[in-house]
Amino acid sequence: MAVFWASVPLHVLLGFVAAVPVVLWDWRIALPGILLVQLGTSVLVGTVYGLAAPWPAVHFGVQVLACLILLLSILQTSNVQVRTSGEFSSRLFRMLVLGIAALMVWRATEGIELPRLEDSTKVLFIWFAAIALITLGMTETALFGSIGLLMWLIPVQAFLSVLFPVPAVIVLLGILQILVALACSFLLLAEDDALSLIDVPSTDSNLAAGVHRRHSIASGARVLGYGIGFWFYTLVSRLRNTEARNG
Amino acid sequence: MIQLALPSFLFSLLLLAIISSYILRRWEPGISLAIGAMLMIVGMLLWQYPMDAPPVTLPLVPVELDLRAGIWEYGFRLQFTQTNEPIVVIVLLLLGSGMLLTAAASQGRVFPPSMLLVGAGYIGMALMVDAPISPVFLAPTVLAILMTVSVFPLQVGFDGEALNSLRAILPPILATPFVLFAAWNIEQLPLNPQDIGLAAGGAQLLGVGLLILLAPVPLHSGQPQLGESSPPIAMALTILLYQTVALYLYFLATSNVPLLLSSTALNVWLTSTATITLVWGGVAAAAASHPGRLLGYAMLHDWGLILLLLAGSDEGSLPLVISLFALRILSAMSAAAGLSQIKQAAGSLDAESLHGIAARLPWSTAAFLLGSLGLAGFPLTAGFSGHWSALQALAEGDWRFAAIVLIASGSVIFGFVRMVGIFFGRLAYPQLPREKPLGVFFSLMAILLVTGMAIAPQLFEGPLVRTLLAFD
Repeated sequence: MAVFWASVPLHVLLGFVAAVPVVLWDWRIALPGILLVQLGTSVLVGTVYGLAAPWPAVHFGVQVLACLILLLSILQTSNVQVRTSGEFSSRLFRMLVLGIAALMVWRATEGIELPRLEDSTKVLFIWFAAIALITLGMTETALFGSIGLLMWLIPVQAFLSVLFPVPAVIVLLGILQILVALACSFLLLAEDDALSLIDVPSTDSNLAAGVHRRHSIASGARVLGYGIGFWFYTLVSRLRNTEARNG
Repeated sequence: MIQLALPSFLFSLLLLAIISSYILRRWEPGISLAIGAMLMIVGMLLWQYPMDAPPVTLPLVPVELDLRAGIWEYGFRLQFTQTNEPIVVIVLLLLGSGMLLTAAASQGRVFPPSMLLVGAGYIGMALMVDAPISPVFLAPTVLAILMTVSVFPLQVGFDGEALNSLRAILPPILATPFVLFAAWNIEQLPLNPQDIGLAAGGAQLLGVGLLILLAPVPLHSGQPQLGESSPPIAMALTILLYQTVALYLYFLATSNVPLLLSSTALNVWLTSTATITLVWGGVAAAAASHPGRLLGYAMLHDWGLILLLLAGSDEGSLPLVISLFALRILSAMSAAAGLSQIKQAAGSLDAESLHGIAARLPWSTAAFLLGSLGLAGFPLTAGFSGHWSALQALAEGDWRFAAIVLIASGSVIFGFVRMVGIFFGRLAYPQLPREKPLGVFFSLMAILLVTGMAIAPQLFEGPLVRTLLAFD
């Protein structure tokens, strides 16, 4: 198992998954992408670097929670630009930047020493950090700012957990991860023109009637529930259709 | 009689303040005034009361307060010591003054509880004397957490660019892995005493982390942009609290890891980035037409000067850095007090709506201008004495640095001269209301403090000496 997770092709695959959201620049790709990268990284530090049992699962659980917090705000906001684009560069340009970054990471990692990590994992973590910085540099919305920050925190959390398997460090970094998601989901709502036109903060109970229905915690949870339910329903019906066709 | 350690007392007090300011947010001015006064009194009493005194019995409540006792939870020890005393007092006074100013110019109903929550975190961080990893190395992670929470008070009004608040939280988040990696290197040193690379690597990583944490150019963007997009008091408090703790960490790190100054290029990097920071602050201020952004650039220029003095950090420049920073706090809070009144009266800080506003808000305008000019070291303002001493100290080393500072300060002053032209021009909106009595009172207090410190800077000598003793 450890040999499989330590293999170079798997590292390349994880690096590729991390780069896809930057190229496509769509939250529907970015959030699952982050979760996949986190899943891979958690399993990697658990199996190859022997991080004690609950912590890899905690890393992944915290990331799931952070993504759900972001999703709640994404589904609530009415600003189409916040949800879908916010990009000010073309895909070709971003691919070019990623290519240059890949070359630089490949060259630079020779001179960088990350103790206790295999060479392939070292390159992978520096690649994640480079992708995070590229995302932060290119974004003009809080959504992709948060995706950049969460991406930055994945290798940071993993590497520091290997160096310091101390609960205090892991918990503090987990708190930071959740707070980043909370702050960015708040900023996502603040970017929403519909809300900014109303001079009342959403944390106040005295919201205008329309806004209250749309932006209250209960309505957010409902929207999130509907979203997950709808996704699950389409998945099940697709599976059924496929089975029916095969049958 | 209940025995209470000081950290427990402070947290109980702040928790009470947070809960009451949230529940009673409809009466924001009254509750902010009460909490602000309470925090100011607690801060001043802590400063006045000798630390080695016997436990104090609080009036009206059966509580005995032990100033020297600490609390120990989950491997973290929080204790009030001589070293962290100035930081705790500064945070309390900053929070108190922020709450008092909020009573005169609302920053949003949930601003007081959210800002108090952030302030409680800063106090907790300053009180941390022991942790599973040395507090010096763990502090940037806590600072990143606190800056992330600061997004809520910064964006409380839902107006302005949301991305600006996000930019402000970047430096501590980016610095965290470097400082923790440095901690690992330094912790390994006793196990491999012959490995010179470990010590040097640790010092270099710590240097990089501190440089990012101090946020000179190009990591500066949060400061001027928050000036434009966030409520003035929220902006001033957030920046000043962050920089207070960042400077404190710098002093702790340089005293705990002597290699940091002797075997790294930190001073070289700090000198070059600080020079660019102060020059950029000056150049951009000359072109800024938004008073909030102008204040942000003036603060950036002043911060560049502080970093430049920090880079030449020998024994002689430490008092200068501390006095400059204390005067910066006074000037920035005075400017924020005036600007928040102006924003409340005019509705926005766009240059078009501010023409001739000094005719309606003379005291607030004066507080803003005197405070802001203090950040550029203008004569007869609080910052003058500090800037003058800094110029002399720089000129002794290399006159070119002093000349650069002088030109950049002149550029900031030029920006404010343009702003004076707008404020004292023809009144654009004659229907603008006049200043409220509470606003006039706070503006007058700010003007008195700023000019008082300009006329008699020796008033500041006592607190400065005590802060220096604490850091030694």
